[in-house]
Amino acid sequence: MSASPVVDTFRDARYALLAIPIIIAYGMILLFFDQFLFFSPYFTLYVPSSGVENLALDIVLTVLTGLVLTVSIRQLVLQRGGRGTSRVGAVGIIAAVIAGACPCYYLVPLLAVAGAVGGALGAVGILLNAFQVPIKVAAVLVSTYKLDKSGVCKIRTHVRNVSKTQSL
Amino acid sequence: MPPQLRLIWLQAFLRDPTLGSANASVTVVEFGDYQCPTCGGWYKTQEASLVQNLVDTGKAKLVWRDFDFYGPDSVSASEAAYAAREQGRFWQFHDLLFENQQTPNGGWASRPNLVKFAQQLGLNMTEFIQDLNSKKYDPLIDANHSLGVQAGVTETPTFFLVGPNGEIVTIAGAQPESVFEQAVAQLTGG
Repeated sequence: MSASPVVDTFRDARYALLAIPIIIAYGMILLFFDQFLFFSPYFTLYVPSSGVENLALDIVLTVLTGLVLTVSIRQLVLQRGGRGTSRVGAVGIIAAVIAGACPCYYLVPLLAVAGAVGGALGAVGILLNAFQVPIKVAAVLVSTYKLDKSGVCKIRTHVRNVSKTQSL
Repeated sequence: MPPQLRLIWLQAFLRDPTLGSANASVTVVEFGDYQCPTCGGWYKTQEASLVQNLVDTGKAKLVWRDFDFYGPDSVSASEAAYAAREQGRFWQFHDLLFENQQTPNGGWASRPNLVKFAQQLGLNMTEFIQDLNSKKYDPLIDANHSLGVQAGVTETPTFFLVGPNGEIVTIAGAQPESVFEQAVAQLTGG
């Protein structure tokens, strides 16, 4: 009997290796959206002095997500190959992966419902299993903090014609 | 958008506040919002280096275009900067806005505060308030926004570097000054 799914997962070299591209890919996405990494006009990695705190949060979140995703994938694989009583469909796997990867963690319940449609209740159960819960909670806290701190000025709506200024 | 049409949209006009020599071979057109934290961050960490290394050396000139999307205070800030321009203090007011930038729509760019900034710069207040309330800058601010949309601005700050041969390099986001130097070298074959 294992001590923890996390420890078990990373004892297996295949999953330890799998975590590396997951962490790199997820990290690059976060760094891009937080404007530490630019692909155009030139590939540029730049961390302003004011961005160190945000970069630290990105790294923490990336590692946490890498852990959660790798453990989830291993458990999904074991479940598929093992008992066979809880079939995890493609939709369920995608839901689980997105639930782990998406920085918008409020989507998790929604994705759990979507996963259920694909016969993935087992996958959702796995995601909420013992050691992943505190990791998820930590990730949620970090994500919430990050969302609050996010200062990137992406255009959502154009307000120019919505409200005009008042005179003094 | 066809490149030639895009170039026309990005040409610096006499109406545009411009910093640097008119003969500079590269024009850096910045689309920004005074309330945008990323614009403020770029101003605080990069603009001085860009001015020192590219504008003061005559390699490039910097043009400001408003791309106000955060709210009414963004528009007020743009109007106030243009009102300061009437007294030859556009760039000083522009700098003061970014140096005093706080949370978007938190009231720091309210019209009473903009008047305080003008007082701080020692502007003629009667003229400033009259110009600020005149609404005469609205067509320019609207036009700048339209130009930005047409040019494909999706975030602020976005910079378009127009070279001597009409080649355009787009720099989206608060990228380091070294990227601008690299782009200017590319555009001028340096």
